[in-house]
Amino acid sequence: MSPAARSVTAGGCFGRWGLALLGAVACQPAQAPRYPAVARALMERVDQDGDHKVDADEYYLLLLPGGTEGGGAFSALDTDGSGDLSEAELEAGLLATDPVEVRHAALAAEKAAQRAALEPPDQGPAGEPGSPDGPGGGPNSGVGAGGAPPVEGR
Amino acid sequence: MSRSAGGRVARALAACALLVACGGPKPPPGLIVISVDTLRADAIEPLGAPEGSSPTLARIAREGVLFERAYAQANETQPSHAALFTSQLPSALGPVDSALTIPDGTPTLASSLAAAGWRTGAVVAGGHLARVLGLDDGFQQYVEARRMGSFQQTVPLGLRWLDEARAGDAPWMLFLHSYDCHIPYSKPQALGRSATPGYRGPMLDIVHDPLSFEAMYQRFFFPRLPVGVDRDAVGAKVKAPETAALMTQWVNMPEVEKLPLTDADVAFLRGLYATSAFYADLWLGVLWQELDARGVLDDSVVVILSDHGEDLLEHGWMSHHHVLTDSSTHVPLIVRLPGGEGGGRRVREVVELIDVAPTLLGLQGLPIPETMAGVDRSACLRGGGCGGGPGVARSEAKNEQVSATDGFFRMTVSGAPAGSPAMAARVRRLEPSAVRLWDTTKGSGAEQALDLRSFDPERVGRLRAALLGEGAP
Repeated sequence: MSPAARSVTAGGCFGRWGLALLGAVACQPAQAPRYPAVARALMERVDQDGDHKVDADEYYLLLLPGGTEGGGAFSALDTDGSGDLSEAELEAGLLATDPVEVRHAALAAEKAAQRAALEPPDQGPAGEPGSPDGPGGGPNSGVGAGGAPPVEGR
Repeated sequence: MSRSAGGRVARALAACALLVACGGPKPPPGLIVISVDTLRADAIEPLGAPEGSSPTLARIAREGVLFERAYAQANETQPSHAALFTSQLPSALGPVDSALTIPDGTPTLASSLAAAGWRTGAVVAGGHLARVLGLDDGFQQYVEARRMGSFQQTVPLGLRWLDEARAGDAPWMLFLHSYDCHIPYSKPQALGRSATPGYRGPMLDIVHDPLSFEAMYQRFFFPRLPVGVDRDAVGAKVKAPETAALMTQWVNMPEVEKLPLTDADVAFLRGLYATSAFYADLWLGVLWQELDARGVLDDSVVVILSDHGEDLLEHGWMSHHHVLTDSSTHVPLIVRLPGGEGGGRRVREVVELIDVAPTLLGLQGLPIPETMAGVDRSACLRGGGCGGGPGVARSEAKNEQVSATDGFFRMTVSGAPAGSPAMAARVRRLEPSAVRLWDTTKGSGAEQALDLRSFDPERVGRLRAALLGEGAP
């Protein structure tokens, strides 16, 4: 995980609806959980060593690839800068992080990486974005590069 | 808080207390129906998931009536919700395909409540509940949040709608929905590997692409499968029907590139799903606290259900639209009455999601439209008997399958469209080539295939009669 990937601003981290619900809590150093039962359940899930706080190693151990591209970086969640996440910080950060935005960002980042790996810079013009022979149109991609609509299952 | 502000609050509280003590106007009754899309029954604690998997649902089950054997009438979002809203089997509404909708004029739960003066609203996560699909009949407001989105979007919107509705004089009904448990199960990024923290395998590369999950069959991942060439009614890319058939051929062709899925890979995929269910539960926890703070739980009925489950390779497939199994149709159903009346009961009788609409109308003492085919179980919720109905749940799929279960055994008939005369003929004849029978008592993935010819004929007769829409023989 590169330092750049980890440094996401709090403004980019919090989805607008989550922000609306959590109000000012989300962007301030979190003091106490607003939803205690939820925060407790979250802590029990994420705290691997049982010390009732979550350090960066524990956090990144659980994060899916690309998870910080659209939010969810440890530094953004650690609002008091203590180096650990409390129940309140976990709650405020994870509930306010827009999960769909994160997934789309991660997918876009992954496709960009694939594109970079497949196409050397000196190659000729590529096909249309999204076409089977165009950038991002891998066998399983189903979507082309360039922000095609999200793919849905049934 | 300033002294004057504190005084105002104290006076307001005193006025409120006086109003209640004097029997002032009660708030209008409310009804909330929450659909957690793609949540299979055994993913929640009260129905077999490990402790900590769904703490909110565990709590709600303690405060409500839990139906242990509730089944969806389809294994996909659109037909299942159409059945839920209308209390009719999908095939009774039209051909069971991607164009299935609610025919104009068909009574629904929402239209029945609206006709009785209720305010009705829905906040859905789009996708296969998009307004364009025509499932919004009877909802005076139908809000589409982000497509294939999360409770993160729909819960705040739902609470906003609720606050407006409760400010009025009319009773109200809110339908709330999310896709948190739907493929690719990667919404909770920061919790993603919490079920399998040590996993470092190849499945990490595919977790953001829903179509990758559709390229799995019989513990193989087909990286070169041409998936996603169709678009459905809302323009979403979906797996083409022929893709499934292609995988069943490719699985036996050594020259085809395929990645074997290890136990660790499968555990990771199932862990992702379980984590998605946990994430949905977190948001239900947020919702629950907000409802409690507003006093909604004191005067409202809350129903939590799912429209279908999910196959997690137990039957060869990922996702939910391939086969009619317990994993794809056995769903949570919890009804919490105002104040938690009768909370903690567990109902063992088989019920169907088409029972929900007549039950909720029955609870309110409202007339139940004749077209509603489900059973009114309001007496059961009030502490009475929970029998009645066929004791068999039916399900229908787009890919020419119908299925019936009595909670212990499941019979599936395939080879003709659900609801067609050809399917009825197959069910009547019970053609061995078209019929499969399982003992499902040991759970998903541990079903035991049974020989139709040597199985209890009375039991087979009940399942068959249910599929034909007949009473018990």
